Amino acid sequence: MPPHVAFFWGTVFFLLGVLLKSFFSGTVVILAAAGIFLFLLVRYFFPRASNNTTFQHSAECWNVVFLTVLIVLGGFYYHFYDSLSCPKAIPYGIETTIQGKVVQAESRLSVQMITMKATEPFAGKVRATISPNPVVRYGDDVALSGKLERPEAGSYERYLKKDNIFAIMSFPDAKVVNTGKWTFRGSLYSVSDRVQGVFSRIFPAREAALMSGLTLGDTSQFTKEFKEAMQRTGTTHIVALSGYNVMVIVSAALALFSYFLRRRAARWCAFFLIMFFVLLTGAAASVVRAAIMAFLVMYLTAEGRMRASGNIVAATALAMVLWNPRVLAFDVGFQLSFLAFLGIVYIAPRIQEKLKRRDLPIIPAHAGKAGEPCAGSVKQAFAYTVSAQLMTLPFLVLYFDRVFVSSVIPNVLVVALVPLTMALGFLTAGVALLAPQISFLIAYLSFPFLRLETLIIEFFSRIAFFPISVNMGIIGAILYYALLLKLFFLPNNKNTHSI
Amino acid sequence: MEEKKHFLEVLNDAYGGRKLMFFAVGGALLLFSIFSVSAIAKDDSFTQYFLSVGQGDSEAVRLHGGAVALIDGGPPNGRALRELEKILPFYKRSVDVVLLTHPEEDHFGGLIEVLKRFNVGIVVTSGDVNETESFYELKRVMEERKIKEIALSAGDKIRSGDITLSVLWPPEGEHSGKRNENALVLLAEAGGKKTLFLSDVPENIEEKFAGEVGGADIVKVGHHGSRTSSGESLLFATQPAVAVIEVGENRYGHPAPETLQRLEYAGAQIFRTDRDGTLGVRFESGQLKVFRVK
Repeated sequence: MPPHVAFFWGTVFFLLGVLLKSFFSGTVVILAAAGIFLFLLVRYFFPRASNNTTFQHSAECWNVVFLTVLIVLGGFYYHFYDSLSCPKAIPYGIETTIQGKVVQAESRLSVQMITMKATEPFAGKVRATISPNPVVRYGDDVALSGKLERPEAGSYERYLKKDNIFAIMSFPDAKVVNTGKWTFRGSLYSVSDRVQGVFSRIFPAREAALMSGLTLGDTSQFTKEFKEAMQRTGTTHIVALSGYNVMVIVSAALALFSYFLRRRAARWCAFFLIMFFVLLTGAAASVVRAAIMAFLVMYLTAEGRMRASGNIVAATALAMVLWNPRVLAFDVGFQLSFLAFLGIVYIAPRIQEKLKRRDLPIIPAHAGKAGEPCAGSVKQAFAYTVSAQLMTLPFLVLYFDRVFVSSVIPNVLVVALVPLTMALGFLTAGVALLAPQISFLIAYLSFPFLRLETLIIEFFSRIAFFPISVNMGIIGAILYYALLLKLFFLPNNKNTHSI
Repeated sequence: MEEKKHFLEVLNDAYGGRKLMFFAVGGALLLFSIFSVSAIAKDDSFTQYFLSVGQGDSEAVRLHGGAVALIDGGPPNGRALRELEKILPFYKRSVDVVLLTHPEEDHFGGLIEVLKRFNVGIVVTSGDVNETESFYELKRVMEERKIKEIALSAGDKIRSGDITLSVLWPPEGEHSGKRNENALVLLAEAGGKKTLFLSDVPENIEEKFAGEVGGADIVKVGHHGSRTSSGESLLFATQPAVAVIEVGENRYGHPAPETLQRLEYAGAQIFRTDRDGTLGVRFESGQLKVFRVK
């Protein structure tokens, strides 16, 4: 097995071991049995060697051993991490006062959501919903008096568990014992808060919330109605700071710097700009992942080394899972983001290839040659949207119950507008931080697009039709992805890359 | 050596040559937004708004030249901000005067977000204070945003063109131990038309200034329609054509059936923000018009 193929499949099987152990309290037998089963699956799909000969029998056996060992290793790694991060001495169901440091604070319209790392004698994190006052910030030492509850078993419990949160409190009495000292991360959050403050003073609340979501991934100011509208139109991903959003920033930054600088210098400038963006959003794990993936894939595309993108995606996933193995099974954002990104990297080019030879009805026949850039942006948006939705469909059905077929239309419309809106949003924030007196001029340029995006989302959410509500089950999902693998991921065209 | 592309070519490659369409659409939308729904910007009539903020009070009064006065901000649920932005044009990010009738959270809670997001000229209070965390936060935001505060009392007036906001209560230097009894009571007048904002004052306080009002076309009913407010003597003195009750879901039984009865007996047409949403009241060609704001 060539090294790059070994790395890719080795990572996949390690992650598979982590995934299996996430759900099954675990036996090596289950993992080994899964490994053997997967060997059969892999044997069927495994690409032939470049010399057009099959692997020797002994080599195949070693591959099986190698991959099965990695499954077991993945399972053990998860078990090891789990045993180290269990909560300690949390008094569920009893009125108590618990103290700790705030590691996350989100201020919403009528409440605050905080995550607190409890101090001795307790261990673990607590998620609390508290009233808007006193205002609690990142790094503050707080005391919460109330009842600690265990999260209800199900998706919410798993969602909290991935962040090592094992207890929740609803409107406890909150007291700030000490305000936090200066930390680097705290200062990043302050800058992020300032940028959000700029948007909230320039734009009406709804547009300010959307701009904060697009540029900083912050959805705390969204109303419940607007969140539901985004779910019905399948546009939640535009504010998720996924690989797609960061790719938009990367490609725009590269285009801008390429005009002034040589290619290599432009890439370095784009790199530092992306790092600044990551820091601005508080260096959340999802943003770091998205930034690394997006930048490296863009870099490889420019260098014509797109074939390595599979290993890049695998390496990034491996790094994230090694940091916190629970994200693989329990972080919906991680799952959807990776799947959508895989769709964009592997499926979108195939769709764009098909569209290249066709003019879309909305683009006039005389608007340049078919496939020229004048049609490219709409076709690209369509390809990205469809490919991301194809990859995420089983998970969307699993987590959100329904997926609306009509969501393709608002998605294409909104996705086409997002890059310019984001660019103007960053420009507004930058100018406002440096010269607030003139920032409103830049803001007025982005307002029509923000207003248009909110109108599209609200309009199409009211007329959402053809909901798909299908319970695929695990087997159905596996068969679905096997079909996608066959159709899009295996090589059948020299112009498209594959694993 | 690689030939550098012109910046417009780089943009063209990025956005597919449709930038002209984008700018045209954007420009058109901008113009549309500027001249679109904006009751206050276009409107020269004497108009007030009663914002649907849940169990709390918040009203907006249009002043001369498009200026705005906001009376109270409702509870801290984000609704005062949302409703205020419905009645203002998108480019108006200032509230000229904020009047906080008294420091109860269902009156000032929502003001914190308003003060953070809008440029506020001045905050008028009765001088009363509270010692809750949320009130301290309100004060902190005012200090951070460098917003001046002034305490007014009975006899003081705010004039803006032909519109006058008069303070009817409390008298200077006279503060009781009960916060509701110290609340600012305001009378907005223009061209002989009057709107009375009763805040949360109880009946025993109403009797002290009822005689000064001399008739009111619109009354913002006291204390969310509580049975201890909007007494017979005040309603007899004011004879309002329209009574607006600002109320939401609550466990106090607001509005009280006795209050509704008194209002009906006084001949007032009753509107409620929990059922009718945010309401606008305007005088046009000598007629009083009440409309819903959506």
